[in-house]
Amino acid sequence: MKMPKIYSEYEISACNVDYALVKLKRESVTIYDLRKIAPTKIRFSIDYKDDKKFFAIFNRSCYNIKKLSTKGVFYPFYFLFKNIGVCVGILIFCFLIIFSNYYVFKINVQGSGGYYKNEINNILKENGITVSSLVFSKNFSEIEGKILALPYVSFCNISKDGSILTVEVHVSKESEGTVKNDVNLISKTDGVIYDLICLRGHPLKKEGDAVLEGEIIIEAYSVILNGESEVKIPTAVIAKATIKSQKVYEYQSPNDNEQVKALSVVMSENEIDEEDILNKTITVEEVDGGYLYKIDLEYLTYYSLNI
Amino acid sequence: MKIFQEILAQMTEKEDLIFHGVKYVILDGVSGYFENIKSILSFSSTEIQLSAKKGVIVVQGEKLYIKKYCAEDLVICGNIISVGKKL
Repeated sequence: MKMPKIYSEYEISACNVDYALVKLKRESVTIYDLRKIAPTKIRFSIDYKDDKKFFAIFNRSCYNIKKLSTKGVFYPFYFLFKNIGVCVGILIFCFLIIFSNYYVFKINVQGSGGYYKNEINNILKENGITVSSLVFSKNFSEIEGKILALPYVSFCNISKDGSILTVEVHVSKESEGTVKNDVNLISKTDGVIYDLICLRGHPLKKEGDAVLEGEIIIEAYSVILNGESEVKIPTAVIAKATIKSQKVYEYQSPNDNEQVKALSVVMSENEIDEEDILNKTITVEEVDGGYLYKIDLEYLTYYSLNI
Repeated sequence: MKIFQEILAQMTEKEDLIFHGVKYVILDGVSGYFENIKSILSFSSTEIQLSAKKGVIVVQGEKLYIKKYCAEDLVICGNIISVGKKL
């Protein structure tokens, strides 16, 4: 037996309390959960829509009527409807909570690069972020790029937790005095990119690409996405490139069987380490007055900046 | 309640019979459903007296309470032990 969606619970006490039921029945009021809790006291529920009718029936009669509660599945909605002020208050509160999250009430600069606080605040100010300003975007990559461009800064992360903006900056002491700003990583030999590690800078080549002597491998800028457009920010390159080259060197000697000597002379003249040689082929030709050693070497050359 | 119409159709040959007396069905130990009740004369947790067109129906039991009372229909919950009639 289902109860109404919203119903009121009443308690009536009177000498002839059973007669109250006759009155309710006469006016077609449906009664639910009727219990006699004392000889002169009954407790029951009626549909909430019958409330007005109920009070009209018992108006000016000798019954002690107590409304105990209003219940039902839809009662919470009904309560909010009847107490619209509470609803509005809750909505305003939620709105203020959400809106206050977009405000910056405090800027914290943390990490070993904390001494850059003034510079960082200036960078933030240039991008419209100050204390008590509104920040809707959570993409700080452009600002991070600008902070990373500060000398010795090796790590930067900007996060916003509630209304506190935290800038974490770390500087790399090891690179102090050795950082080469605005210098591209350039290949000094012809070959193929064998291995490429780029921590900072814009790579123009990738592994497997052919590279010529004097060609730029890593350019000294970072690309930052600002909305849909790309922004280039000058930066110090931190990268290492390994280039695989193949060259034929010649060595002439009056003696035969001097392959080992020929190889060591070529290696020392061209500053090639033995462990960097991938393949080697040595051929000997007899020429006028001696022997010509042709040494075909496939070897690795390393170029790096700020590593 | 259609169940009473179906019972009437089974028990009488007159298909259009309209019965004005008290009809009830008891679910042992759970509840009882009563139709054609004029009013509640008195009730307690052990006895409920219902006024019908012909006499008074007396429902006796334990932990009785009225689950629903609407127009001439009545649902009594509790352990109904007996239903009698006082003329």
